[in-house]
Amino acid sequence: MNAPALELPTIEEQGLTLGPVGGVRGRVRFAGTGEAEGAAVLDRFLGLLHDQALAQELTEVTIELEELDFINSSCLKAMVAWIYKVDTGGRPYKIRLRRDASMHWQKTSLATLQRLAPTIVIIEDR
Amino acid sequence: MTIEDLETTSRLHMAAHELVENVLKYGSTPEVGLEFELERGQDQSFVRLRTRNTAAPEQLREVTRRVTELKAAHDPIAYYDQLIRSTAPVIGMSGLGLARIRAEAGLDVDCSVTGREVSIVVQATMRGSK
Repeated sequence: MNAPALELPTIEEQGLTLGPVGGVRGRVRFAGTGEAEGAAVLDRFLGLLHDQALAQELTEVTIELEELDFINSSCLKAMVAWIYKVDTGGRPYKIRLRRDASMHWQKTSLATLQRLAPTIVIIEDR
Repeated sequence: MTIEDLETTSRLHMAAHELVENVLKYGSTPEVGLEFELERGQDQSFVRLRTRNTAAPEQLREVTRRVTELKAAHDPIAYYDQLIRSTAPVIGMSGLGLARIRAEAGLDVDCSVTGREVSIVVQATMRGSK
């Protein structure tokens, strides 16, 4: 029997859509564009994701980023802070980032996140 | 001249986003500027994005310090990675925008201050004049 999906809300604010992928445990999807105002939205969602991952003792979380058109450095900082928290908090789970490598910013920015925590961040091309 | 290269377009797009965010975040008056400039040469051409805004003296000193550090860094990616690591635990302001332009977009970054106005210039060098 499949485990239940993460009990996360779907958030649509400030140009971003963040939410669980139905029926798939530990998998969420980001879409849209994240500007400065989106950083707090992303930060809040990643906090919820972290709490749920710990509560469900997940060993891996996957974020589908293929529909994320762009995030600026404020939103990137929210992801940095989350990855740093996981990396320095006992590394309870790995983070798989599914990208669209045809988007130049995804190639460079996700590589940046992987260099921050190479033992927990996995990059996967769609 | 056309910018047909999708990667170059994407790099300039990233730079424009970061520069505009900086202007909105640090500008102290509504008077701001954003210019896009193409300079054609025989063998190479330049694309420049230029912003200008007034800012508080401490912001002017801070942006000058950051750009000076960025330009002096022999390895822009290593500098960027170090900046990310050092600011990762700090909540709030990222301060990553200009370093991201240099490291991720691979563009040159410079700034000048006149009075209370700061101008930041980002430049991409492109081969050929077409």
